[in-house]
Amino acid sequence: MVTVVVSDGVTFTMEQDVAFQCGLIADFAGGGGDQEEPIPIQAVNSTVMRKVIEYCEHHRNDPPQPEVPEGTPLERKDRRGRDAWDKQFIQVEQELLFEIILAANYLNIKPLLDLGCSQVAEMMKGKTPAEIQQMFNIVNGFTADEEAQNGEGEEKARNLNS
Amino acid sequence: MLQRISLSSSPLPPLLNLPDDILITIALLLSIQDILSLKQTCRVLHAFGTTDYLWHRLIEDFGLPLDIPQNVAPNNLSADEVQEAAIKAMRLELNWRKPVSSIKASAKVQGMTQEQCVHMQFLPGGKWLLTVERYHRLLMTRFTTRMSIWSMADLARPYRVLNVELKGTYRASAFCPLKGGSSAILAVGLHETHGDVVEVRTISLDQEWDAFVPYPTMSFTAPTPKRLLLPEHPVPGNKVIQAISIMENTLIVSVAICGSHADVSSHILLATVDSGPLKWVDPKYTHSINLLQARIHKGYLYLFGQNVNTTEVYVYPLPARFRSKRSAFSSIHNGGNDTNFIDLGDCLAKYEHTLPRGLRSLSDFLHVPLTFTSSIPVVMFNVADVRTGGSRSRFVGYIIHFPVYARGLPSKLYSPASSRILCSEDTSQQFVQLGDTGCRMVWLEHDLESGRNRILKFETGGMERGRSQILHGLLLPPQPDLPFVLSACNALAFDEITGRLCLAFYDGSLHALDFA
Repeated sequence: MVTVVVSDGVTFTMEQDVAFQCGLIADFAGGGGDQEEPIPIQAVNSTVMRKVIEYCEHHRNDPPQPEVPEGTPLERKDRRGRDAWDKQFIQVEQELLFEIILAANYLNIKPLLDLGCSQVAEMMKGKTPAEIQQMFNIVNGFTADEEAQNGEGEEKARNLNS
Repeated sequence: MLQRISLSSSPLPPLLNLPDDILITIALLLSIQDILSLKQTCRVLHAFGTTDYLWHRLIEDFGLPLDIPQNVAPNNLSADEVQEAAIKAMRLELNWRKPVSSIKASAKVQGMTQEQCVHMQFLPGGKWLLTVERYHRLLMTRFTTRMSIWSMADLARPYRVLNVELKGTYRASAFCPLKGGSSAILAVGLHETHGDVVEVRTISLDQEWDAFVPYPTMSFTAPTPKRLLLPEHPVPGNKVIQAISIMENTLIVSVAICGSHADVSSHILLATVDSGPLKWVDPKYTHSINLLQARIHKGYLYLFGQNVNTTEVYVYPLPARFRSKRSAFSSIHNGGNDTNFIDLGDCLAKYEHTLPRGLRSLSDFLHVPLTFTSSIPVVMFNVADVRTGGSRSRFVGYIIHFPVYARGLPSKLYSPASSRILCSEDTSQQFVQLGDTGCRMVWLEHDLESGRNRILKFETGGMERGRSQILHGLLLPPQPDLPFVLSACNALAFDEITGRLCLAFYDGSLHALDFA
């Protein structure tokens, strides 16, 4: 069993095969037996950690991913396709989504990081700049000059059909 | 020790708080159009969307040919240059895939003579066009070949950078850019009184000929060519040059030897472009191959051929003397047991594809791209579809995607991806122009009953372009709304990168059309 303590002081205890999907925990525990002291994970809070553990428990029996996936880049892209459970799992509030991504990055859980990134990408696909701004709460800080410059290159490019 | 990442204390929205490597992961899942939208949302993402690294990664599996200088990898270009090239490529792709591709520009190019063009070829990028006229000078009892190179950088003002007359009848040529792009190599196969020869010359592309001198003499732009004679071959017969290509500084010449008993065999000659001489690939490698074609890619020699309904690809290591200039020199001059035959060693891989039952190849030519990307599309026409059992058989084309050889790839491949190219009944497919990388193709369809011609367009949909389906459609109707009719067309040139098409007509005129 592995025990971790997160930023808001909550401790989680999980079986080794669940915990070791986090590269960081696996590295920290050094592959040795049971850990006496809980591992401190200060960059992640308990809400996010709960989601992370839920993900790791669901995927505990997954076969290991090959280091270098075969096939062309596009095939690899397609293979990253998410199953229904993953899709459901990642349907969360935007704030939590980004926290999961940062946690997955920090804890070194590649499949969860990819899942989060592909969810963000899905949210962006086919959107206009204004729609992206609205969706991600981005404030346009361009000056009028920059705006005009953008217009020349990218605006034209987006309307490829013209 | 563990750094705290706090989202609430930062004024930035969480998306902009992501580290760059995560943003890259997200961006690589998006289309280039999505990236362009993203760039317009704010300064942070604009800066992110303008990094060279991002565009170098985005372009890796882009899948369309890019209009960038030859011999320059996209990785050596800036983000802005890659973006511009990608946008151009996507525009062309959209127009190419429209039911009616619109012509963005067109220009008539008039030569000085009324001689017919027998061959035309663009350098990749469509800015330079080679034209070849073959004619009989009345006052001299010999055939003459005139070769011109046109600058088409500005369609409104095409001009010639080369115009030479060569003794002998035109057989074949190779025209390829040299590093830097300001010069090119032109290799021409000519039939002279005493047999076929290959002339190789370096052409400077940055000089303009006076367009009003109709018959210029040899000039400084055309230094004395290097003449390469075809060496002796134990098979008796006339040696006829059929095709020439230059790949990785090596000259490849396909030769048919026509014996006196109507026996024809195909052979390959190789030479380094700089030092020659031409040497035969040992006939034991080529004697059983019909429709022989040879290509070089990354130090490997590929032989393509057909045996009844089976299309075959053999991959050999390119002999060391062709891999670098220095070794070429030493092995030719110091090799004690040097013969005229090149031994290729053991075959590294053989790939083959057999046509499905009911199809029979009556093809007389295999179209193989000059540049290999992630797969090698090999195209053939005149494949008879005999399954209908009716009185007339129908002809189709066929395209096979062979793999590019790499160490570790299986040496045999049992089912390369392939598909049929439907052709209208009672038509013949002429002047087939497969693009340099084999991404796009155009040809002239001649209706045998009405005699009408149409230009058809095709996109081969290689293995890496999983997202795109094969496209096959009409590019120009028999009587386009243009100052020519296709029934007078007698040659085509096509640049797939820019979608530029050039048509030659019986009266000696040329007409260039831009689809991008």
